[in-house]
Amino acid sequence: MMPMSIAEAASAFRARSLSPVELAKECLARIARLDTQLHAFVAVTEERALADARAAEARIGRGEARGPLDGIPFAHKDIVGTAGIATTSCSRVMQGQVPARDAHAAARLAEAGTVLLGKLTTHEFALGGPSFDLPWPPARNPWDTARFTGGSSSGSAAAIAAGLVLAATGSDTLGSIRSPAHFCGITGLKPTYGLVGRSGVFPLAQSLDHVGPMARSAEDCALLLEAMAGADPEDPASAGRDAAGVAGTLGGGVKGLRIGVVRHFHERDNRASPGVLANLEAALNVFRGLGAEVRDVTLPPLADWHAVGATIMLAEAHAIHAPWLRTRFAQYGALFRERVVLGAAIGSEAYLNAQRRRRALCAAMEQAFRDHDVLVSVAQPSEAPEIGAVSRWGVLELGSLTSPFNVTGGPALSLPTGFGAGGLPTGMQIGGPAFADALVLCAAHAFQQATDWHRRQPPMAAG
Amino acid sequence: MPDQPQPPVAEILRRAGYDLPAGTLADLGHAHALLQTMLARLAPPAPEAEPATVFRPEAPR
Repeated sequence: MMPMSIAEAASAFRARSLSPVELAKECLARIARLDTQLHAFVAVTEERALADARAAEARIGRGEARGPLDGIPFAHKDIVGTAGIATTSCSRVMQGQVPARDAHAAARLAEAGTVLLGKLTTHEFALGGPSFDLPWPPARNPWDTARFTGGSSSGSAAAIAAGLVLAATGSDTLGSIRSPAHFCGITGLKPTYGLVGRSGVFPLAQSLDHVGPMARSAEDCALLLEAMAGADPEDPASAGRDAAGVAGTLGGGVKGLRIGVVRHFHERDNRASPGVLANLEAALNVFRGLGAEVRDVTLPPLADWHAVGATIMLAEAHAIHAPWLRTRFAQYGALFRERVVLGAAIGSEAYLNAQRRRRALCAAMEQAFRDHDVLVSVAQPSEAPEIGAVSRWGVLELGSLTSPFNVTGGPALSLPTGFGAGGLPTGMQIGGPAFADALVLCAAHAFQQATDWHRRQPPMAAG
Repeated sequence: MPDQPQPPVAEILRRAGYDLPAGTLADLGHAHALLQTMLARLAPPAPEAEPATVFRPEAPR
């Protein structure tokens, strides 16, 4: 039965060829079978899942389905607050914390009828990088469990790729949705800043943080975004807008779409591997074949985008954690505490210069969007590295290919483009101007209608 | 400030209220050097690029 898309499951529910309870039980069985190797879940909420599934099944039986997400097995990244269920951010500092209410996005997804299977592993407090000194082992890549998932939405990507859930929440501050989507061969959308409310989600860096959907396909991400987006009175950055009707516009195609390829990002600034580059070129040829206009575009160097993003992230993260870091330093994992304490060395002058440079970079991106509808680059420069070989200080050394769209706040999505020389997934990033989420999803959907990379599954997930 | 050498990260962190073990500080010294390289890319914009937001005490009033 698995893997299955949300659209396929909803269709099967309507046709009565599959029930939400059957699908929830199938997912729970897969979790029991596979998650001992993957560590994607920090908590499985079996009783809640079966209760949710029975309620959805009853609604569908009465002809009162709440929509395409009714009865869909789902799980939340463990920085997303869930009423009555521990929300740890995978940190000893938060161990045992049980929110009194759902995060805004979690409440909206529950209202849409999703079936909550549990909470998913995150890198500590959503700062990407595997830690081995926490009570929660880092999630493993289902394509090769010796490999990194990417992060920080590590459990979300692993669980979807292995068919343990159909979809999940992720969060993205410098790439934490798109990096694991690339490495695990799934689709993940960082929506426009402010489109999805963040109240109840533990922040990493407020001016860069986004919450978004992760799933197998762009179509599924669109269905999720429709449910997740909406005014959040408790999030000061909430745009007060919804995403109604986004899924209905997916079929628009890409004929005449002006695609700008930020080639210098992945060919010069942070050079990608031959396999990643070859798969991107093949993907661009698919777009050309579908009638899109593909041409190169130049933006400021990737290192500038990354310097702005990383400086702001470290400074804001330090401001959030400083009171606890000073008094409970040893409770944090070494990777998190040693990276974030460095934020104390970023003075107000550097932080404000980063914010001022950010405005200039946003202006450069806006200029590029006068001549292009979407921008494309690779999402990560390589296939998944070995989990023990992930650079500790990569956040300071390498230009993150995903960071530009956190700096601007525009929507950006990562989707699979094939496999590299090591047999592991590769991805492509499609970004757009603010609130062009539907256009980004439409372009990704057109690509996925013409290819089947997003339907591939890891060998461990078969059967 | 730009003309003065940067104090070592240990001193910066001590002033910020952190009393960290030597091993941690040694590792952070390397990271701090990387941070300085990154911050060097963030020179303030030219005054003419931000005429409305830049404080210019030398300007006639």
